[in-house]
Amino acid sequence: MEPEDEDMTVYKVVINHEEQYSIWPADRSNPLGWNDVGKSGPKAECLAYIKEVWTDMRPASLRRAMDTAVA
Amino acid sequence: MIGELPAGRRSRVTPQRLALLRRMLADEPAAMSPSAIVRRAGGEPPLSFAQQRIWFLDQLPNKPLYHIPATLALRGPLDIATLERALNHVIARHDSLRTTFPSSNGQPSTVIHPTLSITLPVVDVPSSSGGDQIADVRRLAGEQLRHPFDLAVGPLIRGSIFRLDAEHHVLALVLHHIISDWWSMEVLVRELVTLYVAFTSGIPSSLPDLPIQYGDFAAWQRDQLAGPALGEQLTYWTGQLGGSPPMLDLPTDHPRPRRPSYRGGRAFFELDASLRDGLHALSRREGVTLFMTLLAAFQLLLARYARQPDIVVATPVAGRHRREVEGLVGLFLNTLVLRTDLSGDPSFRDLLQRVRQVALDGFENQGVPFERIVDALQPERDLNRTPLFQVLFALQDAVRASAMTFNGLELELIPLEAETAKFDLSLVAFDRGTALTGALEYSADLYEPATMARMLGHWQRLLEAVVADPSRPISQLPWLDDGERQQLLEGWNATATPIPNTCLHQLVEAQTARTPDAVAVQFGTDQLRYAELEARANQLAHRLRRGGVGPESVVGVCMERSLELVVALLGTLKAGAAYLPLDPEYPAERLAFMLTDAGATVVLTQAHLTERVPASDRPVWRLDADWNDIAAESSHPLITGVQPDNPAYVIYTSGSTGRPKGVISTHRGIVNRLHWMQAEYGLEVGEGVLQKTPFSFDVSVWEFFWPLLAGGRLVLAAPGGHRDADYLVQLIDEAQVSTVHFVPSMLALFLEAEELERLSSLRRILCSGEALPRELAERGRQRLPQAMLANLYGPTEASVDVSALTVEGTGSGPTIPIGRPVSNTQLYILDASRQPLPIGVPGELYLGGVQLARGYLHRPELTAERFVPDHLRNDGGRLYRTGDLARWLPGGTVEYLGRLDHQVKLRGFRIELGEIEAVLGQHPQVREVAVQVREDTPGERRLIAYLVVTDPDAIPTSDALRAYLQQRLPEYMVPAAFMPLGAMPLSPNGKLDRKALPVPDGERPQLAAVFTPPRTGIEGQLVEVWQEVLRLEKIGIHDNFFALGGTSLLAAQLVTRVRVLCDVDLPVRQLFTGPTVAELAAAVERAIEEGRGRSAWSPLVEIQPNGNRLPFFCMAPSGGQVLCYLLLAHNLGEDQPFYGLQASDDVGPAGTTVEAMAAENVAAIQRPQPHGPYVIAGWSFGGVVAFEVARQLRALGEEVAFLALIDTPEPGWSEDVIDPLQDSYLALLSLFPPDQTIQLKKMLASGEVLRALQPEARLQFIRDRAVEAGLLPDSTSVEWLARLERGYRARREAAVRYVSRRYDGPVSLFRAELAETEGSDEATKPEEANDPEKEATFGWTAVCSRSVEVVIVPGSHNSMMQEPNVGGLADRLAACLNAINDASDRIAS
Repeated sequence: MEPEDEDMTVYKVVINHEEQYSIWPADRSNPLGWNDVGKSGPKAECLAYIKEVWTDMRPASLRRAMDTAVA
Repeated sequence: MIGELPAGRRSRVTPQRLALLRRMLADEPAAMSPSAIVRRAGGEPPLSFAQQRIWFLDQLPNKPLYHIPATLALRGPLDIATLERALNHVIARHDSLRTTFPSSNGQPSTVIHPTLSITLPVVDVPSSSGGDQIADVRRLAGEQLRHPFDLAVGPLIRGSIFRLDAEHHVLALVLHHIISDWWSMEVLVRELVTLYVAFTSGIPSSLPDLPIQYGDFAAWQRDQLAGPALGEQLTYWTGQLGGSPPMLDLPTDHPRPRRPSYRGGRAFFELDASLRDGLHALSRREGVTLFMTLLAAFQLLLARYARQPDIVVATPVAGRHRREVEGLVGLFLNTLVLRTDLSGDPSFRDLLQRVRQVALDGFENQGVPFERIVDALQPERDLNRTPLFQVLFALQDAVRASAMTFNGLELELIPLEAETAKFDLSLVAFDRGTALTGALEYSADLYEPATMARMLGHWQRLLEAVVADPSRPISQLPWLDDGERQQLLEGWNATATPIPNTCLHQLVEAQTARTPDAVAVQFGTDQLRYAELEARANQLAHRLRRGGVGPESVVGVCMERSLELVVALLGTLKAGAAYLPLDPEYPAERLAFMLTDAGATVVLTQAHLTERVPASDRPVWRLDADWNDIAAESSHPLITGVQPDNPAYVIYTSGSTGRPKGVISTHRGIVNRLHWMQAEYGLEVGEGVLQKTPFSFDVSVWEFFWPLLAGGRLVLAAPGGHRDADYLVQLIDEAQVSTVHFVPSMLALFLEAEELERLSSLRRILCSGEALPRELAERGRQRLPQAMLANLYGPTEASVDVSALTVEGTGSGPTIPIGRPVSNTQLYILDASRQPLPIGVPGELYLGGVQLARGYLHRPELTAERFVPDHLRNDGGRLYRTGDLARWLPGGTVEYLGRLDHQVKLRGFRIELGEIEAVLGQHPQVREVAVQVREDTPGERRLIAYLVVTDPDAIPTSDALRAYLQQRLPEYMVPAAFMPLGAMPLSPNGKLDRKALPVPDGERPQLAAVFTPPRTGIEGQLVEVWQEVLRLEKIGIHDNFFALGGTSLLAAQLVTRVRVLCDVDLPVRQLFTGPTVAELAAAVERAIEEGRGRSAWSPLVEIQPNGNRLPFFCMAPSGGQVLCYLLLAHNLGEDQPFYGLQASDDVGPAGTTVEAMAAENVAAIQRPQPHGPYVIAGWSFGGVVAFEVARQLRALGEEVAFLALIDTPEPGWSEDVIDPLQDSYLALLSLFPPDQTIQLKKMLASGEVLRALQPEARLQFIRDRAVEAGLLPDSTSVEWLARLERGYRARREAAVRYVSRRYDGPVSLFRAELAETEGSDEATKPEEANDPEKEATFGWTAVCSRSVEVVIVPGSHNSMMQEPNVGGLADRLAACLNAINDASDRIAS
């Protein structure tokens, strides 16, 4: 029911076991398998943070498999 | 507007309010305003506002029933006569019951009859064995209830007594609502019973006098509303409801019909004692009434269903808040419109306070009749709907006197239900002390019973939740029961399926091992077998690896459809890399961006496309020209270590901020998708799958790879061929294609192609990319009944498609649902808080499962925003939010409802309007821009750009803007039209009001090109066709088709029409390469020259081909047909070859000229006979054409041995007046063999009839008469006749314009002996008959160098061509022809 363009919700940056990032409303408990990264704020800020840190978008399991293959 | 009440406010209830509250809690009436209602003197009173409204509604042809029943079961001995007497006594007491409503000039008035009585007929209801008497009584009472009243005549009260046995009766009364309401019924029943008791006891009436009558109230009401007290109340309402509260946009099971049927249904509910008690306790604690609590929960329910925070619900009030009217029978019921704002996610507790405020204010201001508020607000009226609200809520105490006993008579009120619904929904609850019961009455036009039952269930669960914890924010209150939740989250998403843990190319490799010699790919006449494809792809893969390509690499592919393309894609995958499609038709800037953004290692292309590849340091390999290099590589598969989670392809989609974004799709996702597809549709070895979707769209992925993993044949369409329906039909037939994809818009076009019956091989049509309209699907099934039709849905971000439905023919929504999820995929429909929504309620579609892409290349922030944590499966996975609006249907399929934002789908292309706006906004002369998809003509959706320019004196031209965009965006994203605006329309909150963007006008949009009118006949014809197709006037020959608003679909239509009109073979592509009339006309002319005729239409008609003599070429008269020469040919004999030259009916706007017709005929004549000597003839107007043909042949240096003009006057000599009536008449006559025209003439003899008809009607008349007489087939259309008539008229006009030039060959005029008497071409002779020779030769001597031979033949102008006269003509002609043939033989020998 809320118009998205004026989203004033506070979000937090979360990460899963595959080291994929996403965001979640700060006042709600995380879905299972997703953990806080420690950053929260308005949506735009969270996304900007993710832009900085999420440099390798491969799932962690793939990264490990590929590293093993190379080795 | 109502805002949240701060906590302090709650305690500041004024004494007045408190008193009111107490009264409301006790449900007692209160005196509100000081002035009393008094009896008035004199005349008939006015109608009250409510009465006026009901009277007005009664005038409508379609109306709900405004009848109120009171049905009493009476057990015990009943004195019927006394009951009747008592009833009539009651009637005598109340003026209302004796009032009727006549009208004059559309205005109603009242008439109060001094005496009026009714009888109560007794109807015996026998007890039949097995029958239920009570049910019979209900049925009979129901019939009585529905019987109409005549408001003008009355009486407006009626009744019957149904006798079940001596001591069991049912009194059924019915009153019209215009004189009563439910309170009145109670008054009436109470008084009736009181009087009955009194009379049977011998006591006279004991009822108190009534202080006033209804009429006094009505008059008082009018006075009050002009005054300050009610004036203030009215101000409250206009303030509260002004600004038009939005219509409640509730989702329905069926679309709203134009005229409501008012059929209703009822779903019942019961809230048990514990819940009831809980609700009462909650209400008390929060200082509100039960009514307010139930209403708040109901408004919350509606807000969730309608996805709106501004909810209007009406509630009926008795209107008896003045003591004077308490005891009256009459219509006092009023409707309060209660508008609550649910925005801001308040707690339920806070919501209660909002509702309380609104309700209190409403009750305080209830003096104003509803109708008066409607008048003041003047909302947009749809006469088929109640203004201002669609939903009603009422809480009623259980009826007070529902049962009583007196004098041995037991009396019980039986509720009787009318099966009508005046509103969309009415929720009525009764507090019965031990439970809260009631019903949800609904419009059966809109809703199904199951939906209503579900809705009640949701309401109940909300009530349970608020009793448990009213402090919860309303968005968090649960409303689904466990069963529903389970079904939505798990039941309908139980799609777990084992999938091979392989990569895409490995599936192809596996198939190759099974069928190495089967044909894998076909392109025109070339093909590759599986083993060959495999070998080449491996070679390419080796070469790529050598070039540094491996897992996680991106290979750019800039190629057209070709065998090389398939090798490129497969080879890239085999190298472990992902392919990046680079459509050669995209603008260079965009390709460059994609290449750089994706970080492609190498680009694969074809020799002729090398310039299209953006310049860079990357190696560019031409797979055709450089193949030898690659062929040196090993043809064995490569081990690359690529995994299912590595990318398989990267496809760019439109981005809202101006930059497109690349979606990384993995092997895992696409393998799942293809595995599901094969399991679902079962492609067999050898089946042909058509590849026509441009490979920059992900639909192409299954087109390429599905057949290759199943042993099918990949049939590649020619580049550009995907736009050409006729080409596709041909290809599908020739290549025996069984499976094809269509975007619905393209399917619509395809279904219009000819010869669809040829496509017996077609078994599967898969649609995706746009909503599939139901009627299009039905049309598809009809025209191609042998093919299965399926509708698929999915974004690029989830491996092409996530859901599918095979069209079965059942179902009723406007579009075909998108179906059920595919393997290992979940569909969720969630509200703004991401909670699951029940069946029928629209929400955003979220996708889960194995098909989700990795994300957007180099855009982690966009990825994080759209791929969100999965809180439903709670397994650390993600969901993709589609931004699409959808809802569940009862069967477990999903219905697509549109977008939530500014992304649009146009003919299957996904476009972010923001991207176009961003790019266009960068143009220096554009200050503001808004782009919109508009469907101003049904079925035609176009992109329109609205702009505000920086400098009003320098408006950029559409051409310039187009060119600017074409350099930056793909063609499908370039708007069809550009509309300059003075300013953007804004909504009250300052945002762009997209709904207020104006309709683009049909005038020529501003264009830079100078307007140039058509120069030739063909250009003229083309301009006409363009104007029709584009719906524009004034098109110039240099105007760009696409700049004028043309789309690819319109292009295809246009080319088809041009083909038919000009009889040439023209590819659709022609319009893309030469999109102006001038260029198209040139192409048409070239095609004509090259003889690329589409059909074999030629003027030449072989009437009698046999014989050795010089062929006789005879030109058609003004009717254009040569049938009239059959008899003549017959009479000339089998040794005389006879050809007719017919006229074309496709005459353009410029009409035709005799010279043009003659030129066409000359060309046609020269095919069978390239050189003279020629024999040329023509009857009537045909003679004029023959004359010009002869002249042109002579000008070419050919000999014309014989020119016969059969009763043809020289055009300049006669002054024909074209009689429009004669035209159609004569055109028709010339169609038939002459002997049949006599019959027709007789039929058409009533010239008067024809003259009385309008021109259009005449043709219809003629057609009908001709069909009746068997002269024309039944399938003949008026249009065909009209075409004929147009052609005829054009030729007549051409004759008038024709100026004969000097002719120096021999001319023979065969004149009819008799002058025509019945109205046909009457040659008017000039005033001065002083040139007998001219007269004798019909004026031809003036233009002939030699003398004109005149031969008189039998008959009149028309009858000379018919038996028996035609024989005479033939003889005379033969005589001349003999001489010529002899001479010619002599020359030859």
